[in-house]
Amino acid sequence: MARRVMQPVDHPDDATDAFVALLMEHRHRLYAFISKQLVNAADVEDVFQKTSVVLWKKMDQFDTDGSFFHWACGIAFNEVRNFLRVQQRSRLHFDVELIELLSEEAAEEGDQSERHLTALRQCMSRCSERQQQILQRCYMGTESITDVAESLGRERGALYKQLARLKEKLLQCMRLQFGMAGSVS
Amino acid sequence: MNRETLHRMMESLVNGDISPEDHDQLQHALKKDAEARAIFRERMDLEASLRTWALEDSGLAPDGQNVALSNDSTDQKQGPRSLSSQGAATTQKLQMALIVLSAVAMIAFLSSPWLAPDRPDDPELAVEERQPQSREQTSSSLFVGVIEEQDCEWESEYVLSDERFQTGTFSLNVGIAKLSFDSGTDVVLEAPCEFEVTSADSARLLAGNVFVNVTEVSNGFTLHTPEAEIIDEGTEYAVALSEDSTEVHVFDGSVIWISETGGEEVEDRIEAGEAKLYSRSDPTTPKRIPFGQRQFVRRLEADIKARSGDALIAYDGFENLAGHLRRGRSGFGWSGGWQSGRRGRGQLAEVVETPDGVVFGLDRTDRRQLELANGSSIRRSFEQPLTAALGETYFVSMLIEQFSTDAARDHSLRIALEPESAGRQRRSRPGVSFGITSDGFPFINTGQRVEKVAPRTATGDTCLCVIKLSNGKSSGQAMLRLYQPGEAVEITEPAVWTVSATTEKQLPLQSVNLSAGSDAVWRVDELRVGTHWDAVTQSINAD
Repeated sequence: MARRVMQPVDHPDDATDAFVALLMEHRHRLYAFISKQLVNAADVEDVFQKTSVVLWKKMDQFDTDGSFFHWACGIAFNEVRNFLRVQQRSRLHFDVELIELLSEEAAEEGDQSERHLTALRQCMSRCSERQQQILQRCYMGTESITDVAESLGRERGALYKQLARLKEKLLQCMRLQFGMAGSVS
Repeated sequence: MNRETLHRMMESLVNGDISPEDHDQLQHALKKDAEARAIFRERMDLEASLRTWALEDSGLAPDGQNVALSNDSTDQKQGPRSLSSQGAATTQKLQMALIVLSAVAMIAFLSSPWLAPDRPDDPELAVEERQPQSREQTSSSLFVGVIEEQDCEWESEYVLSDERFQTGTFSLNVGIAKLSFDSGTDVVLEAPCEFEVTSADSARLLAGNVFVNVTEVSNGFTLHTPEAEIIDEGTEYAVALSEDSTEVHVFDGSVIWISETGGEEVEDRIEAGEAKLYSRSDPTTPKRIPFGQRQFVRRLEADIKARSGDALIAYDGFENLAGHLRRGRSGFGWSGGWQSGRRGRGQLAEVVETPDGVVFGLDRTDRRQLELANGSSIRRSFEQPLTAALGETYFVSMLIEQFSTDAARDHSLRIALEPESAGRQRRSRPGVSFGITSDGFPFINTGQRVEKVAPRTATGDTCLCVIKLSNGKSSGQAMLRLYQPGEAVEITEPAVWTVSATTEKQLPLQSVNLSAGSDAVWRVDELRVGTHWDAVTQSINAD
């Protein structure tokens, strides 16, 4: 494997490009890794952003012979713990024991998260354009579910119900795409 | 923790409305159960994938320029979208990195298959591209759903590809057709009906009756009539369009009727349980009409099921048929459809219109019934065999009418509940049968003897026949109650039956068999099988 050199201070342009490329390559799996510990989308987003910054700052410590994802997972896990220390009273979160358990398992699932994403993209064709629009609005992070429900003239609960059904449909499709039908249910 | 509870709690957790108690319980389960954790991680992969997909598909770069920048992990209170006070150089580098990150993301996004130039705007188009092209298909038409036909005759051929229908006009002369739109709405057409599919989530009713079920996964459906637009609000409703008027019956949710007069839109809301009639010459002035006055095929079975509950095991009103009997069509609680009760391919039966009017409190206007004639014998199996445990009781009811007159020949009707055995075993142990003899007397045949009593039925009379079978410790009981036209039906099981007999202990029952004598013509309707008297007579009493 070619050795990639990171020199953020001496060669800012190259280093930036390399960092961005690496982060882009691993963005989704890293986001999924954090999701499996924090669940709440806003929390996950916050921690992902902080993790990105720390990764950038510590890029010179990265052993380029190693796995960027696993190195990033270590930093993300620390950021999750930091976040929980500060935020622990504002929302219900899992305790450290479970977070550690989940993070260990999630760190081994980077490729799986990518495959899930690929399967989801394929399965989206089974949703109508309007269903896709609703999913997109709910997951973009720019509107709350309540806002989306109001703009559609629906009850929040009804929208949650519709989302749950859509997600179940997508999950079933993804399992088929992913070749893991029956492995978990 | 069972899987259903696990899924429910995960859903609440994702939605942010989990209770502290459920959160504790979920946490405990996840710690102890590796499989539960695998399910949880799969679910969170879905959440993460949806987030990534939403950003990709929006045209926004993941984590774009408006990302929070902070080198202090405890600094979140400063505001998630503000820059913290780092050194200018570091900030500049980070900004640059993130701007480039955005640019890279945008490039990746633009080059993704999602935005490829030839990607159709509508996901249905993508499906269409994989379908074999029909010769009649035009470039402007779309396949927008799946069609299911029940003995249909169409005015003209319509374009179909692999059971998928496309936009265009459907003229149904005979039968029932269900159009399941990919967008999540089901529309049932009842002949005669003229219906134009205009898109994946809209259509135009030109004549006749339709039943619309906008399912929970649908984002809505718009039905146009010549004078108005009907917009659903998560609902089930039916529309009947005649030359003079349009009726709208709403079963669940509500709909908004929007008509236009003098260039101004007029809205009218119709709630569940309401029915309104709009004159076609003045569609802005509704008139309330009795709800349920008009029977819509799709609702009949659902209503009957709802009213009778679990005690109604099987039902066939012979409504979803037109002309002749086919496999697996009407009713519920059956395993497959009616089949010949004779060896080989015997004659089945016809489905004919009922005469308009009320019979035993049941309005059968515009309904259908079974006509069993000239030695026809048909059999239908229950979805699950009826067990024959001690004390188990089953009731069967149906409306019957003898249509033939020459009593010198075989004009009998036989109704048999057949045990769970096949072939030779079934013939050696045929079970108990009930019916009407050629000379009109109700009978029970226990296999050993025949019990036959007065009163006799008259040709042309529609009678209600209720059968009861029960199992004792060592023997069974078979009873038959025949109600003559105009006779009141008891709301509880009657103390006195028309004819009764002691039978051998019943075996589990697998099917029901209806047979007409070689010269007979019998009409049979509203066949019900249940575990309580109410279940097989309730809707008749209730009306």
